[in-house]
Amino acid sequence: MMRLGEIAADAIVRLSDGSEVVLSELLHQGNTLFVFLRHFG
Amino acid sequence: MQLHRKKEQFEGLGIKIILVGMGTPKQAEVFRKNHSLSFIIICDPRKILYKAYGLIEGGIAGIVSPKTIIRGLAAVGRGHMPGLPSGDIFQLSGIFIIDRNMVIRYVHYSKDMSDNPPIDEIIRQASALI
Repeated sequence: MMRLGEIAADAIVRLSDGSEVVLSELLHQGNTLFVFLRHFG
Repeated sequence: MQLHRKKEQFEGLGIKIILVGMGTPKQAEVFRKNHSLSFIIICDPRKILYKAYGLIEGGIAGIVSPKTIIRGLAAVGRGHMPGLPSGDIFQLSGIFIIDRNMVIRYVHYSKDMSDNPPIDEIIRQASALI
């Protein structure tokens, strides 16, 4: 299985409320369903 | 949104849901309000995460093909109206289940815009983490 840490864990991402967070901080909180959308629609 | 209707089921499995979209925070908040969502939403207009996770663009065949049209009409028949596209209209979607040790345990890369795994299949995969 692939470890995410090698891909983008250090990426700083912007949330919908405008705040920024390191991706790994979100993912370390537990099991995650990570869904990439085609659009916000 | 199907995921929202199954939210409690995912929470019961100890799974949190994070959405990633190509729009701006303002567009994401409109999306959240329109669908009454309580998920974390990441805004990735430059597609940094899309690229990092290996999500591809589908080209015109990923949008308009007999299969996408038939599935699209079927979805409309079930009451799922397609939203207006934003960002890269050729960008395809994807779903990952990542465990608490940050290991990717399930991957689905959409082959075209109509290629979405059944929600029950995702729940079954998520159940395997427990």
